[in-house]
Amino acid sequence: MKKKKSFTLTAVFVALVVVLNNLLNFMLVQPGLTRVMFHELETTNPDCLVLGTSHGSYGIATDELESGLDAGAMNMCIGGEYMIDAYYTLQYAIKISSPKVVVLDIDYQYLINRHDESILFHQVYNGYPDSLLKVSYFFSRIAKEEYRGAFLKWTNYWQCYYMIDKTVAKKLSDDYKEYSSDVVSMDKNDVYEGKGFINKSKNASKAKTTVLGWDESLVAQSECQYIEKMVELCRKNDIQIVFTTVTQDPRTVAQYAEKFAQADSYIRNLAQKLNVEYYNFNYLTFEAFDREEGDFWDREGHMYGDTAKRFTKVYAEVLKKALSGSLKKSDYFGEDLKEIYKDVVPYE
Amino acid sequence: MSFISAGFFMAMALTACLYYLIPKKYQWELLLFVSFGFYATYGIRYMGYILFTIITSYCITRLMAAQKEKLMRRRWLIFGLVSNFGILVFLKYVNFTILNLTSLFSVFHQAFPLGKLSIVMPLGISFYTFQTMSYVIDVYQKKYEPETNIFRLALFTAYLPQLLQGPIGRYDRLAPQLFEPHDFNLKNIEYGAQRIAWGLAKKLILADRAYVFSKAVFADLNTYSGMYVIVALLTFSIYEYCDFSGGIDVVIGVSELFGIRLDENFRQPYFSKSIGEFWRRWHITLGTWMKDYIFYPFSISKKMLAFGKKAKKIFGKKTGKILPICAANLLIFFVVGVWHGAAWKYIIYGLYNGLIIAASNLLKPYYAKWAAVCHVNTESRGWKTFQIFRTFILVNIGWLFDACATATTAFYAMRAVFINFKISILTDGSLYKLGLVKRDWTILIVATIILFISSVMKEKGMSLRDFVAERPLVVRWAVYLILIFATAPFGYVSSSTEFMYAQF
Repeated sequence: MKKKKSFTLTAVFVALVVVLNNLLNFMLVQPGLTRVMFHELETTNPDCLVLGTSHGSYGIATDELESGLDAGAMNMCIGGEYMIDAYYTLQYAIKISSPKVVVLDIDYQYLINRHDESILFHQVYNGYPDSLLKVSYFFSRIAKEEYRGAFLKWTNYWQCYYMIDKTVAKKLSDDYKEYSSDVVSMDKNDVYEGKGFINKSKNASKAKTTVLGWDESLVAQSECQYIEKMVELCRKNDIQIVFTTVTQDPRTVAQYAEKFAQADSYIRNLAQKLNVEYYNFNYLTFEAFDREEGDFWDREGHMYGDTAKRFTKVYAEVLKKALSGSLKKSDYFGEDLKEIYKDVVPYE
Repeated sequence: MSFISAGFFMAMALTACLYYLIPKKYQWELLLFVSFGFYATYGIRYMGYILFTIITSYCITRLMAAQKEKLMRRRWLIFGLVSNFGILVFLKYVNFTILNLTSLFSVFHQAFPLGKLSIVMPLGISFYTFQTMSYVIDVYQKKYEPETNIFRLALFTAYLPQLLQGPIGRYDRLAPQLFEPHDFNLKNIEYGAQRIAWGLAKKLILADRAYVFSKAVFADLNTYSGMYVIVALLTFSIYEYCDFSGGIDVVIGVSELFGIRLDENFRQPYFSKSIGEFWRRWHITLGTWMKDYIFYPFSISKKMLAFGKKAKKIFGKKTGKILPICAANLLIFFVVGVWHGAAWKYIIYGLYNGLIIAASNLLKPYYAKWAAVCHVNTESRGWKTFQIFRTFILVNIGWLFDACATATTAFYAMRAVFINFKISILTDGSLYKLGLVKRDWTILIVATIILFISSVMKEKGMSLRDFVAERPLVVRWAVYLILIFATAPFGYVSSSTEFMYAQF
């Protein structure tokens, strides 16, 4: 009898913890864009799927990409998206749609670093639709992460306690149920233009955040393994895959030209090994795409919306030609970063 | 999978459920399965080392038990110790040796033929080697019979909660608990969960936060000196204690869920009145291991007894009696230093502690005389507080060797305390520029005060755990919920949340 009571009390306590925690998650965690993006992915059935990080979400304007490629596209680039996240996003995309081309945009910083702030932010996982794939995703990634990011998701949002009423109202609204981006709290200078593209207005002042220097000894082999897995998955499903790196702030590239070149060489070798084409748009000549520091809202090289639209036209042009096999690289790309950026004043 | 990963807690919760649902005779087998499964998540290639330790310990103890001749038993013991400690020493020290030999050769303009080897340390190797070797020595000394079931010995060696960072268990205390059947007991679950939450709070609220500041200062001693070094040392002190003891709390708490009580590893170490006492309160299981398997055997060895006799003749009865003890202390603290890592700084750290203890032993009679001459009441609260304060300073000086990258940097840090000393940095906002903002400092100070109060209560023999457990259910649960959820708003978020001692 005593044993039964003990069991019951333990079960009640565990249930209480779970209920309270879910309640806190519901009241504090802000609705994210990823959930909306996955819904768009489900409803658009894109021909071209772009995977990558925040550089892609701010730098690849999906409408321009679609008109340049003359095909439907979905930009699934998400800030904090590591290769394992991209892999599971791709798996889901293949499950619910039939993309013909996958563009993997690689920010080398993700190969060598775990961002402090992203340790508890599992944006992709949190927005990932409930499915068996999500269970597999959990055990492959989230289970290995700190428990707060997996269970106490409100860790990142406890400061939002003063707007609990608004958060709850948002989550109960029809907009939320219909996956509208209107319920997503975004930076005041950001506008979500749909299909994964975030347009940053020029009202935002320039941030000093800069890039990490490339260091091959820091490369996480798991990242490379997931790149390999993505290539395999695409080949298995008869999907063409290309790697890209979007253009960054020219003054930063000039400042770290050597490091950028080393990173390029590493990724290029990896691509070659996997028999995949790699287009690093930091090697774009200034004739092909004119850019200056004022086109980027931070030194790390995230683009303002209008730059992104201008850039995506070139990006789409290159991709279209590359996919059809008619690309003459020298029309767009230079060989040597120092030569390309010789007229650019590097940051100090 | 680390101790603070989601997977670890899910695995432990699931194991605890199964543990009480399956027939009791299979409980230990479940623990064995889970322990090895967990170890395998770090990489199958590491399994070879732990299996080697298990198999050699099993075979050697069985052979020793079957052997009547003492010499043969002794040979088997030596073989066991050399092979197992040999692996540990090789893995830990081969690159250190190569590095030092390379430097030595370069002095003579010669190239050392070997380059640095690519070695990855198997997880928990120091802990399981020490634990298993204590079993082998005990069997040799006929303290108990050897285990006849190799799988049982495997569980003793690889028991999950303690596998990665101790405490270093003893076979006679741990094994019976591992293999006896355990009934579901709410108190075990309650106390276990309580201890886990307390450990996580220490780690995530205090240790990870404190480390940010100390790391920033010790990485740039040219810029930060004087008061910065003192504050950094204090935060490092918090980090060191909360990280290690927090990890041990999680380990002990998880084990309590299965009704298995592990040895305590800490007993309010910062309240010690001497360095000797500090080592009886800090990493207790390592200290007792050293005492039982190095200190005593060394002290009563023939050579040391002869040395004692000689010393008595030369230095007189009192000093002559103390000298062998001093030598034994120096030896064990040298080993403690070596155990801590492959670097000169750890060896110096060990010897620093050994020398202080040796000097204290030698000067003890003089202290008593001075105290009498100066009319100091050594039983007074004031004198005891002074002793605690003095020991705390000595301990902190020792922490410099751990906090700094090299021994040279540690000596530089000692000097840096006196350079550009400005108390004003405590109030002018300078401290907010090194990774911790005002809110972090507030949390750090408040949480340290809470920890201090709970330590004082423990020191006075009051059990906070029992106090909470005796409250009505609603109060108890409220306390547990606060503890469980506290790490969300008050915990520090950083990418390096591994426990420091998990690397040993």
